[in-house]
This record gives sequence, structure tokens and C-alpha cells, in this order.
Amino acid sequence: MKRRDFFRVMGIASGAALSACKVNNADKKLLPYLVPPEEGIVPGIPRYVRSTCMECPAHCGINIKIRDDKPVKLEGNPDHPVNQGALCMRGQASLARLYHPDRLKQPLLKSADGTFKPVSWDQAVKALHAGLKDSKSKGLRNVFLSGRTTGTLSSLAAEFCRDLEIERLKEFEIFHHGAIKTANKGLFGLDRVPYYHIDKCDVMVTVGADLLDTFISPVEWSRLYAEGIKKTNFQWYHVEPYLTLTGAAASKRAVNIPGSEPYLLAFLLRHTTLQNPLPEPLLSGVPEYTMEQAAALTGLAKEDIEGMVKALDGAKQPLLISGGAASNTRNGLLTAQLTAMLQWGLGMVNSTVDFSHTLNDGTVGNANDIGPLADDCRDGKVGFIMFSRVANMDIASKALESMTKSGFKVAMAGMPDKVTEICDLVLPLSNPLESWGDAEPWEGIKSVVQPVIEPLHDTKSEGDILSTLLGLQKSYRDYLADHWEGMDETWIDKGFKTIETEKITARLTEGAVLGKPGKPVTNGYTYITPSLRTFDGRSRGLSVLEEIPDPLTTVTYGKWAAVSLQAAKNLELSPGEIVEFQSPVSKVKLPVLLSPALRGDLTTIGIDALTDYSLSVDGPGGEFVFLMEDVKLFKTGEKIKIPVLSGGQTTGKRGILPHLEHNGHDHGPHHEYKRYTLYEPHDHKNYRWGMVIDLDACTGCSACVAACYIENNIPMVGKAEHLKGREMAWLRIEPYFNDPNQPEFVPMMCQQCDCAPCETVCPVYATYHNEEGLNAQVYNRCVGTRYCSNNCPYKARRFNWFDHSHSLPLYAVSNPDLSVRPKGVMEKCTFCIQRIRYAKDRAKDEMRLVKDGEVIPACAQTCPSGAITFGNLMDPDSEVSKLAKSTGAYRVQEELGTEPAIYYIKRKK
Amino acid sequence: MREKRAASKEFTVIKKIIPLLLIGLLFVGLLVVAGLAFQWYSTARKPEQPIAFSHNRHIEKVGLKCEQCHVYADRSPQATVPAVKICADCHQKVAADKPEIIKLMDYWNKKEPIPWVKVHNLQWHVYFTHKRHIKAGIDCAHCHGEVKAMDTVRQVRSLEMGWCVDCHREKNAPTDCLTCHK
Repeated sequence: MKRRDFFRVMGIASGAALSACKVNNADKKLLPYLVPPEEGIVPGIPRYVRSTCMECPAHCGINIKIRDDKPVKLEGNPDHPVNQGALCMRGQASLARLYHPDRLKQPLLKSADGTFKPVSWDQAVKALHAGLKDSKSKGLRNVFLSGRTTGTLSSLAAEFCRDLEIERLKEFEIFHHGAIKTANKGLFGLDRVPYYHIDKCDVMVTVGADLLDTFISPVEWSRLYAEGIKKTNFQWYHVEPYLTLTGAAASKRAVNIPGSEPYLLAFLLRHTTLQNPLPEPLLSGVPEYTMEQAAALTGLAKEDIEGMVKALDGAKQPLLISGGAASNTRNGLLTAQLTAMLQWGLGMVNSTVDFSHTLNDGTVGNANDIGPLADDCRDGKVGFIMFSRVANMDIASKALESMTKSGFKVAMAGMPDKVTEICDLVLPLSNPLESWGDAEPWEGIKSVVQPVIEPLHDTKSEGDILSTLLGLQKSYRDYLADHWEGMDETWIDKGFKTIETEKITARLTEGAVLGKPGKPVTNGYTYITPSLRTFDGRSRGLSVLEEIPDPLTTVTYGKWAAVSLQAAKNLELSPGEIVEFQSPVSKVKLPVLLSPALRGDLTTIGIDALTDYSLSVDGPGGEFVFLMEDVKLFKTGEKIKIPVLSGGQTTGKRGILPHLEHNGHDHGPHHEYKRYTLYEPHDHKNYRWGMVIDLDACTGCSACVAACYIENNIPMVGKAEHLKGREMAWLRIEPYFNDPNQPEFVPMMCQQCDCAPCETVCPVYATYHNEEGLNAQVYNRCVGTRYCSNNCPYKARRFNWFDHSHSLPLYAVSNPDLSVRPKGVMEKCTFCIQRIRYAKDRAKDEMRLVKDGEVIPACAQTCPSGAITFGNLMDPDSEVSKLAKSTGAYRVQEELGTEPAIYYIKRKK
Repeated sequence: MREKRAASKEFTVIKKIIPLLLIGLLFVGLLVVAGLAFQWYSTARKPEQPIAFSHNRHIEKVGLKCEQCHVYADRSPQATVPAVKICADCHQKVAADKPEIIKLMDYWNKKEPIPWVKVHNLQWHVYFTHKRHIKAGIDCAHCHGEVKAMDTVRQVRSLEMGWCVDCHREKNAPTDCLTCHK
């Protein structure tokens, strides 16, 4: 037929086919309230309730955002003394714990065949009392072992144990700081961990203590660190055996031979000018080393040791902290004792080392307490054990094993774990978002825990369980009310109360005895490292924490071990090869990654990679020995792929990090690059949204990444997609090892470029530049050509390759203010347009423009060191405008002419 | 050349029968569309509700105003439907013998929210805020039609983007995509 006829026929045919299509909007339900909500609660408008994060013992205050009677986002409580509005990655992710599908949903009783059967609470209580009675009748030990408990719950637990005649054992925590406490007890008579005034010091030396990772209260220390670096004379020497975020942030990072901390501290004691003299009998126990000896024993460079001596001598407010990797060795106690002596000698005690405001962990024991219990269990002397929140007992697996046979075991837990597995009765705990309570992280701070949702399952809070078992005829809420009597009710609205603590002036006691150094470790060692993403392994179940890459290695899913280049060469290891690590007490098989940051033949394993492991204990200090000696590595011949998201380790010639060597001369703020575009500059109406990220303050902790995930309904794509390089995080922390000793972190998200390369290539105009300076993405218009992502030089755009299922129960975490993108749609950072929209709406009610500081995107809101600032670049008085013009301000890859709206500041190396 | 083509049989089939079949298909397609549109106009835009609540009766006879039940319209993006208690408060006594009221009190006594069927549905990617529109002085009837004359609520406006943008342009309201696309 002729062409014309062909087209005519095709036109009619396709018209016929298309006309039969219709848009289907399935019947949606509109459910009303049963009873109108209280005055002040408006559906569709968020409300905030203050509570406390219970994800780790730091107990930061949180502000829970509630939409339609469901918590949808956690933010830091802006007034809380611990975190002041910030919240770490694990705190942000803890919201998902509420809806976790693996949560224990009802009490479980083990039947004769070893399987758990669901029972009612009445039956559970009866079973518990029966088990206890049985044990008592046999004259056996009855014990109560919990994780760190503070506040009113601790009083209730004490009452519970007293009335029911159960031994209340010292609480179990892996990071119990036993070495620090024992040393302080010996030297000052104070069995406590002091507060460190990091913001007040001018010279800080940290030995092993990973302040910004997991040490005591990382969110708090991050904030104090950001305050500290504002001073021009702030110097920070950090000595560590493996790489941590703390080491990356310090002014000077030195890598020591593992376990050699006492030698360094002994040298410092002998060679710095002590202001407060130490008694001769005490000082005589400190060995003398020459500089050469010290350098050889510690593996540090002479300039570094000299630098530390000079800095400490010249400091007005010095601060020395040791802990973390330095505590968990056989020399742990000695390290802590030498530290305490130095702290006294250099006048830090009662100034930057403050005993008036100590960590509230008086009830926490140390690793020495587990051994005797395990022995008694093995000998059949224990008839009843009640566990509470000891999920991370995995690393004391031999102890757990011996407890398997003893008497009647009850566990109170939120999710199933190794401890609940061995128990006869499991009592499910309500999530903190469903419970009443309080917490006292530091002496003098009482933080409230308030429920914001009815328990989703048949669970009870620990307080309610104990009061039921005690037979108190009142709920835990009433018990709390009794304990809070006399307190002004407004403290609950504020979220916390500060209580005056006794001013304690520490004094050196007589008869302080110095420990003996253990033999120096030479080689064949493996360090068990605390995990940034899971703390001591307790946050393992939260999948968003696995999806977010570890900032130092950008590994996401799976367990792995890091081996030094030397160790890899010894065994000819390649990345992903599975190696068996055999210590005298345990063994584990893990895939390896090569790490240039480790010296010698050191290998490290994250604590969350161990689930069936035994660690030895350092007797005097009571610490778990993380530094394991005589570890042998064996190749298994297997290999797997480890998802590593980072493309390249260095910036090369790309303008991602500025060349600071120029900053010595007055170059002006930054180079003026030519604007490479044929398009006219955009006209902005009232606002031009911009952001400033201070790279000197950014520690790489990835709290912003977690906050972005929760705020923006970002789907979790899983390991298979990560192996293909298809990450989904709108905001990522890029580590650059231009200096192999210390990485620099660059938080990278959509730069909202004024001359955006992505806008011009979209064939359907789904992305365009809006009148407020945002690069807007219209989801329903996107057809998925992915040309925009192709063109983006920052690779900030993310494509939904699949419909990542957002099904209940975890779907309940969704933020209703923005859509969940379907398959085939491109998405990216929007500068939290939903928050901008909300602020503009409120401002319009008051007939004004949005004020500076009213719009805070999720990332900026949660940053513990306050590195991200957001605001209107058109307003000359706004914080961002001022910062964008300050020294050290630059934009990433400016040479490309994209004119990003995000300025980065880097002043220090 | 024309004479040659007119003679063959294939020619007849291709040139005459297939187009006829396609036009027939088009006609059938149009019928299907017409049928579906008729069904949609009569039911989908006016869905059946669990309780035959009549706006007409409550507004004309009882004298209620929109904002007395849809209380949050000027304060929130969602206007919401009234809580069951608001209905139950009156209907504990008023017309308590009528079958629909019995259905209502049944829901109230069982503490079950009434599963109303949503009439005005917007797409998943749309952010619409009642508050801003009420504060701009737009009358409820402008978008929802003469609800006071309706027994069963039906959607009268298309609620399509073009319709929204037309009014936005007229009234100088923001037409930036991000205003409504979330």
C-alpha cells in the first residue's frame, strides 16, 4: 500500500487502542476520628513531644515529630544539655525499631520440645514466679542481670530485687569504662568517669579515646569539638592504633603500636613540666624512657612525641583523655592510671576534667563480673536468672553457653537475640516510644521518656513488668509520678530537668598503686573495634544503618574485617576473600578489605561482625580485651563481593577539596571562575535557598545521611543493588584519602546548581530551575531516561530502578508530606522542600517572609557539630550569606561553571 | 497503473477490508469508552457511602454550615470529615429510629470509625492545602459544587491540574511546580 494509507491505518488503529484506556483511582477510604482530638492538636499539622533516645547509653534528648498520631521523625531536643538539638545516625534510625517486623510481639514460654509458644501475660507472670519459687526451694542463687539502667527504673529494679530476694548483679555493658573508673578510684577515691570540657581546652591529647565515634557521648563531644575548633589556638593530638573518625578530625593523628599507650604516657609524665607534683612513691613506679626508646616502643615519630610534650607544657587549659582502644588491652588499667596521674600533674583535674558532673553509671559493673556468674552456672549453683536488655552479650558467648544449663531463665527484650534464645521465658519490652520512664545519663540531668503511641503489640515497658511482678497495685506511670513528686510538671514538656550536683573537688589519695605493664605486643594481633553504625553491636537490627555506608570505608552491607597491606601481602589476600581468624579462645570467618590506614600486620574486626565469640578479660581493669594477640589467619579459598560505594579514594585534580597551601598568601576568598553557560542568570523571587557546609566541623559521622533517609522516605535498595553501584542515599559522605593518614569528608548532595547540567537535557522538562533557586524534580513527569543523572558532575541524582516495596509495618515510618517515588522516577535532594513549604505557609499566615533560621533541612537539623547551615542567600544578613563570603568558602568543582548553591568552608588542613 | 491494481484480490483485502475492521474496532472502542464514562460519571464520581448521609438535609433543614463539621479546613492542609462523636452527640436522640441513624450509632457503640469512601481524590504526587485556599477567600462550593443540594456527595469538578492552574493564573497564586508537586 502507499505510505499515506499506511499512516492513516496506523493512526486509526492506535486511536482505537488508546481510547479504551482509563485512569483508575481505586476507592480510597476516608477515616474520621472517633472522638475529636484535644485542643491544640490539628490533623495534618505536626506536633512535637519530648522524650529520650534509648538507643545507646548517651541518652540524648529527642523531639518526636508526630503526624496523624504516629511518630514519623526523631529530632534532637534543642534544649537538652547532652545533645542540644542534634541526634546521631543510630538515634535517627531508632524510629524504625518501633515498627521492626522482628520485634517480640507477645510473651513466649519455652515448651518441653525447646520451641517457644506464645502465652498470655498472666501465664508468663505465673511461670516466672513458679521458676523463682522452685529455685529458692532448692537453695540456689537467684540473679538479675540488666544493661545500664538509670533513673527511676533503677530504683524500681532495686526494690524488685530486694522484695523478691533476688541478687541484683552489677549491670552489663561492653563499653563500661572499667579501666578509667578503677584508675580514678585508686588515685582520687572516685569510682567515676568524669566530664571532659572539650570546648574549654586549648590543647587536647586523646589516646585511643574515639570521642566522635562511640566514646561515652559522641554527639555531645562533637558539639564541644566544633566549639573548640573555633579558637585559633586549638590543638588536638590523637594517638590511635587504627583509623577512626576521631583520628580523621584531629589536628594531628599519630598511629601507635597497639598496646603501647603506657609507654607514651610514661614518657609524657616524665618529660612534661608538672604543675601539681605527684608523690615520689607514685612517680617512682613510672619507668624512664629516652626519646629513642619511647619512639621505638610506641612506633610514633619523634616529632609527634616532642610536639605533644611542647603542646602540653605550653597549654593554659590542657586536656588528656584516654579510653576506647587504649582501655581494651592488657595494659588498659595502667594506661588509665598513667592518664589520671598526668591529668592531676598537669592541672586538668577540677578544671577540664570535671568530677562534679560524672557519668551516671555507678551500677554498671565490668567484665570481671561475668566470669564468676558463668562459673556458678556451670556448677549448677544458679537456679534463676532474669536478663534485661543484655542483647550485646554475644561477645561473652562462652559465658552464655555455661548459662544455658542453669535453672529458670527469663529475658526482657525488644527483639530476639542470643540471650532470648537460651531462655525459658521471654517477656517482650515496649519500645521507648511506647513507654513512660526517665533516664539520667550524667549526674544532674534527668531526662523524661514519654510514649507517643499505644503499644503496637502485646508488650509492656520494663517498669510495668517489674511493678506487675512485684505485685504493686499501680502502673509504672503512677510509680514515676510518686518519684517525680515535688517536680514542676513543666519539666516533662521541656523533656529534661537539670539538678544541682554536689561540687566535688578531686584530690590525690594516699596509697595509689600503679599496675605493672603487660608484655609489649609485637605482631599477630587483631583489634576488635567499636562500630560507628551499631555502637557495640546493639543497633544491628536496623536496616537503614546497614544501608548507610561506613564513612571510613564506604562499605554498606555485610560483615567484614580490615587487614593491613602488610597482612594482605603475607597471605596474598585480595578484597572479598574469606579468611578465618583464629584466636586461642574463638574463631570467626570473615571477608577482608585491604586498609592502607593500618600499620604493620594489624587487622581489625568491627564488634558487630562477631555474633558467637569469646573475649578474654583484663583482670585489674575489668575491660574486655579487644586487642587480641596470637591471632592466626587462614585462607578459606572462598571469596565474596563486598559492597563498597566509593568510586575513588582521592580527589586528584578535581576541585572537590581546595588546595590549602595557597591559603598562606592572601588569595582572596576563592578563584572567580567564568560562568560557562549561554543561558541568562536566573531571577530569584524573595528567596534564593543556599547552604553552607563547614568541612572543618564535619566529622563524617553520617547522622545527616540517616536523617535524610527518614525525612524523605528514601527506599532501602539492599546489597545486590549496592554491588551494582546503585546507591539511593540523596546525601552521601565522601571520604577522600588525599592524605593517607587522615581522610577528609565531603558531604555531597544535589548542589542545586544555577547552571544545572541536568535541567537542559531532560526530554520531558521534569526538572527545571524554580524561582527560589531550587533545582526541582517533578516525579510524575519523569519518564526515566536518566540523561539528567548522566549529565550531573556531582552524581547526586538517584534513580528508582525498582518499586522498592514500602509495605507495612515499616511503611508507617513514611513522612506524609512527600511522596514515595515509584519505579522509573529520578529523585534527589530537594533541600527539604516540604520543610520550606511548611515554613512559607506559616510565614504567610503572619503575612511576612520566612525569617533566617526558620527553615532547617533534616541534615542541618541533626548535625552534631553544626556543620550545615541553610538559608536565604538573597538576604545579606542571613547566616548563609555571611558564611558564603567568609574565608575558606568555595564551591565544589566550580571550574565546571555549574554555579552550585552550596558553599563549603575549609580553613584548616 | 491504476487499472492493474484494481484487479487483484489482495488489493481488495488490504485496501477495503482491513480499514473497515479497524474502523469497526474504533467504533467498539468508542462504545466501551462511552460506557465506562457513563459508569464513572454515575458511580465513581458519586460513590456509595456506608451511611446514606445527606448534606442537603443537614444544611437546608438543620442549618449547619461547612465549617461546623469540617472544622480544620481553615487550619490544616486536610479539611477532614467530622469525628464520629460529633454525629453521635446529636443522633443519640435525634431521629434515633431511622435505619441510617441506627447504622451510625452502631459504629459509635462499636467504637469503629465510619469507613467513608473518599470522593475527591488527588494523585499521589499532589500536595493540596485547604487552609491556604480558605484563607484566600475561596468558597467551598467553588470546588466542591453545590453540596447543600446533594444527597450523596459527588465530585463535580475535574480536579485536574489544568483546572487548578487556570484559577491560580487568574488569581496570581503561585504556579511554580513545587508548590503542589511533592
